[in-house]
Amino acid sequence: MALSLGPRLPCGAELDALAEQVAAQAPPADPEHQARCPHCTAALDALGGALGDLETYGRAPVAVPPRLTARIMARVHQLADTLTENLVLVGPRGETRISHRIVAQVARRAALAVPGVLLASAQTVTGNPGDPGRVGMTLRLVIAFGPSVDALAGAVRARVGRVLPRVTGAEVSAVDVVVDDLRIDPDA
Amino acid sequence: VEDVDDRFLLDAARAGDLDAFAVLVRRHQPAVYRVALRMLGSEADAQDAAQETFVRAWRALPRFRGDSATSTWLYRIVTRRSLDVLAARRPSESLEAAPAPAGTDPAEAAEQHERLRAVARAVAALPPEQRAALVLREFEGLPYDQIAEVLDTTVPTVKGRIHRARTTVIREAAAWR
Repeated sequence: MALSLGPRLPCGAELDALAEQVAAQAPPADPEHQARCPHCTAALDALGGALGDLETYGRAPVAVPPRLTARIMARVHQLADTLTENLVLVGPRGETRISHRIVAQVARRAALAVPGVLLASAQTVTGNPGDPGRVGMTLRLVIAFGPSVDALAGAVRARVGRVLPRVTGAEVSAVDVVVDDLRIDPDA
Repeated sequence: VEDVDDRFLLDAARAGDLDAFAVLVRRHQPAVYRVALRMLGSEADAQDAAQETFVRAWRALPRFRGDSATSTWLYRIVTRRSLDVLAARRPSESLEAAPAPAGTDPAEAAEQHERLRAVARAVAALPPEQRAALVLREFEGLPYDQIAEVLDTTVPTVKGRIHRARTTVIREAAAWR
C-alpha cells in the first residue's frame, strides 16, 4: 500500500515542491505538465490525501483523563495550604486549627444560601495576629435583580455572621459585602 | 456557576477561592491537555504537563491582570512547559499518539489507523517550534495573531512555521498512502 516516493519523481518533478504546493493550496507552477503527468497526478493525490489525514488527526477528539481535575486541584490545595493562615481556637484541653480556606468556604456557602445570591466568593481578612480566633470576611457577590440591593447585602451579612461562628467557632469581626454584578436570575 | 465569566472566577481565585479556581481548571483543562498530548505524545507526560500548567497559573495569578484572554495565557504556559519537556528529552525519545480510528469496517479502520500513525510520527518528528505552531493552528484552530502571542513571535514567523510543518508532514505521510 505504501507508494515509493523519492525526492524526485520519474518525470523530474521534485516531491518537496509538490508538497509545498499542496500544503499552501497554491496553484501549480507547471499546470500543463501536472495535468497530464501520471507521476505528478499520483503524488498530488497522495499528498492531498495526507493533508486530509492531517486534518482528521487534528480533529480527532481527545479524552481528558477522568481524574485529572482532582489531581490538579489536590496539588493546588497542597500549595495553597502552605500559604494560608489558620484560625486558632484555644480550648481547655488543646487547640483547634482551621484553615482560613475552610472558613472562607463556609462563608461562601452561607452566602449562596440567601435567595437572590447567584454567585459568591469569600476571602478572610486577617485581623490582629495576637487574636487568631477572630476573622473578618470580604464577600464578593453576583446577585439577581431585585427590589433592594442593600437589603440583600444586609441579609448576607447577617447570615454569614450567624453561620460562621456556629460552624467554625470563629469570632467574626466584620463582614464586608461587595456587589460585583447584577444578573437576571435564570431560575426566577 | 459554570456559565460565569472567567474574570469573576479569576478575581475570586486570586482572592484565595479554590472552588472558583477548580471551575477554571475544569473549563480550560481539555484544551491544555490536548495541546500537551499533541506536543508530547504521551498521556502520562501530558497529564504531568497539564498539572504543572495549572500549578504555574495558580502561582502566577497575582501577576495575571487579564490583559490577554485566559485561554491565551494558559496556552502560553502549557506550550512553554511542553517545549521545556521536549528540550529535556533525548532525541530518540520522540513519542506519538495516534487516535483510535472512527470507521466501522475493520480493514478500512486498520488502514486509516496506519495512516494516522504516519501523520502522528511525522508531527512528532517536527522541530518543536514548528510542532507547537501546527498544533495550535490545525488542532486548536487558533487565529495566527493569537498563535503569535502564545509563542512570543510575529504573524509572518508563525505562518512560515506552519507552512513548513504542513509541507513536511504531508510529504512524510504521503509515502504511507
